[in-house]
Amino acid sequence: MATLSIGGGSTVSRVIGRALLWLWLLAGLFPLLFMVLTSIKPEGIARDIPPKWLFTPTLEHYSQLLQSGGGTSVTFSRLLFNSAAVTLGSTLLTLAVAVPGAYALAMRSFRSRKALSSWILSTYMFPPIVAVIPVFIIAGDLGVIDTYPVLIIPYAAFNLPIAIWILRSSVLQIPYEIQEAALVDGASRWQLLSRIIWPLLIPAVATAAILCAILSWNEFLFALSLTRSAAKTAPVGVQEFTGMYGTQWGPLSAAGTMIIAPILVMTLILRRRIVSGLTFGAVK
Amino acid sequence: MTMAGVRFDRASRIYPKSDRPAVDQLDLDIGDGEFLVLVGPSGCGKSTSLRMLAGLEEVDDGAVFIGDRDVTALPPKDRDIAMVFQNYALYPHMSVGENMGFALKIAGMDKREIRERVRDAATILDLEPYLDRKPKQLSGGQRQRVAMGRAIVRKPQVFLMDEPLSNLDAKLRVSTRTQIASLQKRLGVTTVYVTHDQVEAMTMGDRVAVLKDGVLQQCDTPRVLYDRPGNAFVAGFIGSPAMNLAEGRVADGGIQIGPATIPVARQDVGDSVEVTVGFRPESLELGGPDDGFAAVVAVVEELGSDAYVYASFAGRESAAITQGHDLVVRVDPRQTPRPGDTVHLRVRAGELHLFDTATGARLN
Repeated sequence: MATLSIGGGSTVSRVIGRALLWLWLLAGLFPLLFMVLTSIKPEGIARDIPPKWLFTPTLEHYSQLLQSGGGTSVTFSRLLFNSAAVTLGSTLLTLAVAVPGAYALAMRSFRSRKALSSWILSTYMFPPIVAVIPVFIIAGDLGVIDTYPVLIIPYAAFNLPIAIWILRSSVLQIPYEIQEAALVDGASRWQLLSRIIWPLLIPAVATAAILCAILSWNEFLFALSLTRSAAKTAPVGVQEFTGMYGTQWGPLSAAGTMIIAPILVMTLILRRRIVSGLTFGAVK
Repeated sequence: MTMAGVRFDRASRIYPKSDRPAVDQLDLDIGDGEFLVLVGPSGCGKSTSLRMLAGLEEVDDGAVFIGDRDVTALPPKDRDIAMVFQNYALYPHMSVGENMGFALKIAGMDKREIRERVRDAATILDLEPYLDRKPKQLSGGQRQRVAMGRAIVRKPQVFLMDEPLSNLDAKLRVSTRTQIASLQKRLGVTTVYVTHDQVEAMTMGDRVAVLKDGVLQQCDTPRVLYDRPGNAFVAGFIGSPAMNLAEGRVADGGIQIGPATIPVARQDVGDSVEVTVGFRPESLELGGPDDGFAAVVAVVEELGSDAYVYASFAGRESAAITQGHDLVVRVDPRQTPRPGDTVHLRVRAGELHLFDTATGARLN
């Protein structure tokens, strides 16, 4: 009988498969590599076609970037700080709402928990762009345009469904009898949450936090529409290097590299956790 | 340590969206220090009854008392009970010691006293070397003992045990069974124990309560349940191999079952016409050609100390293939009949049970 196992087949087809995957990977990584190379090329040769592969690397774009900015008077280091603040704020807000929410949605005494959970997940399909204009008008009326909360709150709102879903799945994976045992052992609802559920939930909380942080850190649309300078984030700053008189490739790619770096590092360290988070509840 | 009995007073549980109560007006009085076993087939309401006592399940009607206290509306933490769960429900992030001391810590007990009590319980249960391990580093039997330890350090008024042995392998189950029973006698704490295994129920309980479809069938000592089952269900449920039960009609001189007639005194059956006759495998004797009724041997099971003969009433051999055998007979393992033999069987005097077929109620 022919082998049915995944990854089976002859050695030849496996080698060909591997080669194709490697090609695909390199093709995917090439733009990233090119960006990093461009960011350390001296001014002047960045735009040369065909591109030069041999040059003396320089960090001039990075130092220039951190002290000044693109089109505005705000320095790029300030934009990175804003991005970090907004990311941290929205991630904390998401978790503060999602952890108790997920627990409530996993409680057996909550009758419509399944329908409500599915509905919450379905809101993840809502296209954020639709919300930009109403949020802009409301934020204008409230006078909060160009502040941190105007980004933190919508980011948290858009991250909540996935965070709740991940956390709820892992609450459900905790045997219900453990909660009952704690109640019989004399724990109050609060002690049950803080001493039993929370410690068991920490890995899932970390996973949800990472996913929320990545989404908030990379967000462009809301940041572009709702901030001007004081709360502007790094992704918005990047596009300002493309101007009327041409594109500043050196600073642009340096900025891109700096935005990608923390996410890339975090992903490499925590990749297993991220993948397990995305497949949470997929297999019982 | 104060101890207390437990009383269910017409306690009912009706699950939402269900028209039949899961537990139907349960009346049960459990004495101080008694080991009571709730037993029945799955879905009979035994676990629900236990959970009502624990406060994990609502009581929709009636009341539950621990000692003189009406605990019907109290949350689990105010009932002074300890529970052992079927899957043990150990806290995975805590060591064995922390698991056992958790309830005491929650109660705000002094750290040194917690350590002492945990150590005492660990000594009783042979868990001392494992106090710093996490549950996942333990074997099934050790986990089961930790769950027991978590209950006994509490020194509660009542122990609740929900099928605590069902995750152990057969051999360990038998040895743990006697350990739990002797531990309970030593501590003298009122214990309510749920199991679906009637052997466990019979060997462990001071009294055994048999439930079916949410209704209490009979609650008595194992001896009485075995010798005088109150109805046909209890008769068939208690005992292994099960009691022989055969449906028949009242006829001249006895009960007519297929081609056989089992002699029964007329006054024993009262007004019933359709009567179910029951007799245990060991209540049958092999007799001479004129004795009792004839049966055809199908299979002989040798167990060493005993042998069981599976047989059918003579003339009904072919039905046995689809409907199972009519009779199980315990015989001397050194003098067994052979398959195909026709034997004559007679029920020992006073060991015949008669039930009304329609109601299941005991007649004699």
